[in-house]
Amino acid sequence: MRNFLIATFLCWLIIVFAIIDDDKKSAGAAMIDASSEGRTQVVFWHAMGGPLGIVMDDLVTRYNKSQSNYFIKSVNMGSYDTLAKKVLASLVAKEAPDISQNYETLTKKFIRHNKIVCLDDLIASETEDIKGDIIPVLLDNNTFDGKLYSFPFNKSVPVLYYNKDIFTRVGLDPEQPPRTLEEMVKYCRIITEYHRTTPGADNSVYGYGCSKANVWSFLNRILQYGGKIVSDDGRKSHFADQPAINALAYLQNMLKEGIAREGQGFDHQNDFIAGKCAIIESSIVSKVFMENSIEFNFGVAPLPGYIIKPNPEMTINESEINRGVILSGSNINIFNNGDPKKIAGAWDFIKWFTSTEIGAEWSIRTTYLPVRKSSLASDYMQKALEKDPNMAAPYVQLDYCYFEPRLSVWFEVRDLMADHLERATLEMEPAENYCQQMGKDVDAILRHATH
Amino acid sequence: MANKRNKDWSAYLYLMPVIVILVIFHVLPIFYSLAVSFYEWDLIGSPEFVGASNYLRLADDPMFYKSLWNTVYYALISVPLSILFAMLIAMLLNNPISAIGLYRTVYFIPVITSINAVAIVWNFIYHPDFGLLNKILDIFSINPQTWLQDPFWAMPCIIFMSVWKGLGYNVIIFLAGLQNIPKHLYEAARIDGANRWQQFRHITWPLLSPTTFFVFTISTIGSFQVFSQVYMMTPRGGPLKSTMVIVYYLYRKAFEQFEFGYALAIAFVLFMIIFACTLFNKLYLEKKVHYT
Repeated sequence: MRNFLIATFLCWLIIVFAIIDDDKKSAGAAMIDASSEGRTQVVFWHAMGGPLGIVMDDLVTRYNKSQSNYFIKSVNMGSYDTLAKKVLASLVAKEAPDISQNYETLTKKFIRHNKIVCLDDLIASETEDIKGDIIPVLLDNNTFDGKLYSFPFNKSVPVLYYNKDIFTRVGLDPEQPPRTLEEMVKYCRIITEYHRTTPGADNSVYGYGCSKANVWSFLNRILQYGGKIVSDDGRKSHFADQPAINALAYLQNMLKEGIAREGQGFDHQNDFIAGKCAIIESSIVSKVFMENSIEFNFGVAPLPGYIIKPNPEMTINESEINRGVILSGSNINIFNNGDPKKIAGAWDFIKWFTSTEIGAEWSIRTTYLPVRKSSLASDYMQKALEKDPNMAAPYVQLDYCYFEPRLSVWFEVRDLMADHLERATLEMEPAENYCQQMGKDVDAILRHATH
Repeated sequence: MANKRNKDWSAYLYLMPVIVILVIFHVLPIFYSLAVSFYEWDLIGSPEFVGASNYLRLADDPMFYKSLWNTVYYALISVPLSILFAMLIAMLLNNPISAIGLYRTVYFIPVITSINAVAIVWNFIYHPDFGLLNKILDIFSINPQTWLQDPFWAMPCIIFMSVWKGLGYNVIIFLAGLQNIPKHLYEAARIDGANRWQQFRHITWPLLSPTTFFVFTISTIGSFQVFSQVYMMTPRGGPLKSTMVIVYYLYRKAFEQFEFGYALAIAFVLFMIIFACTLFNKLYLEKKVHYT
């Protein structure tokens, strides 16, 4: 027993010394990295993992090599959720990073409590017209009460992924993805029917797949049906209106008919990769995660739209299609940590990262949107688009791209909406019942919220 | 006299490390939480005193009651089940059979496995399309279920997995309890002609009651704090919030909607509930326990 205790104690001592030694070493490494060269260290927290993290690390390393004033120390915090929690905890501990990725809802809270730097002050000293070159919807998305407080960083849009091999198999044109919501139903019907009735075909193949209680997809569809999400003053929702009812009924009908299926989490994406599901809607960024596992020809297309006033011949005229998509992804904030050198370093890094060339490269390598119009027009971008036509879908959609309401209670509202959407496809009662209740419940939150 | 005082002091010295840890990580946070529960705080700004309004809001928050009911449902089913199975298995493992060490190890493995890893494996078992459970049911021509995605089945699925996961821990405690029962009592009973059931009813059950009481109290406290498996297996609190338990609800309020004051009010109510349950166990149930 005594020997055992001594052995345990020794093990414990060894571990403690190893940790102390390791701490010293990493502290030493950081010293060599930054201070010994007299650089200002700028701490950057992000949530870019997997293939996105590789690109991020590569670009940060290049930035650090490109100049000798600042050193960006980038730390991957895992998911967006974890990042947000760590940022909040760091604010309480008064050890906030210098830069971090954040959603607009948090940015609003940061502004109210004076935790972040107003970027207009930094832009004022620039000779170049930076704001004029930012893609308008991204600029609006980051402008609060007329001032730019956050910088668009990794914004994405939803797109339609479709299996070209399945299209060919069932006799659809693989270069003609559905342009309207009606066309999508028609295609899904053809695909599902074919696989159920053709001898030898895999009868588990179905048309359209999505995740349960998908608020993003519901909101996109409300816009496509010509609707609005909340009133301009943010006090009333439009979920009881016809476009929202249509949006929900659209999904319910496809599910009822058996030509679409809902899955948990990324089930629909896995079904798509496995060739079980012909069409899915997902973020363009999913492409980076899926493409290495996909063993068939697939196409990436803009989300289908809706013809609000069909012409008498019922033909599809591209210009009459009402389209709409909603941005996703995060922006970047510079925290007000009181050190002008760190703020200058943070701003220098953001400028470099979102510059015409680097922004174009980031966009092509990760599929996130570039921040600048000049990136879109750059040679790098144009060449990449020629090589892979599947890359173009997100950029085409910029013309009709919106963002979700930036209300302080939006997370809560989204959660509530998800509950109603979940109930709607589980119980399958008429869509207006759920939409009316959703509108009522959301309005109750909006009325009491402080904006 | 001086010697005795020295002895007392040395006892406190030995207790010191535990007391320091308990005070810093348990006692202080409890009082701190109680204080913050009277404020509105999103961590970014400074806390704003709102009096009892967090508690008043709690009193008519339907989701709070739903999560409370779900937690009680979880406790009511999982605690008796885990005591029943643990006692049964402990009695089987108490027999002198070969490779007994192996069996005891096997039952204990789930306990030392990370709950997150276990939850991921069980997610596969319950998967509606290619899950093991539906495949087994298929052999008996029973229709596949959607399990974790079904509002009726989601909670039973979580309960079953949790009982399985925690079984080994209770088994070990019951084994220790069983081995404390003097063998001569059974011998005497056998000589008197008592059958197995009578031996269990009049020797094992009463003499095991301190162990059962301990397991019951610990399991009840644990079941009110259930979180990880719910978080891992049913994101968003399950279909139609059927697995939204109280700790998950306060987690969402605190770390997803950043309403720390409100979340801490929930936490404090939970603390009071657990405290009341434990007090009831202590004052009422413990009277029924036979200490040898």
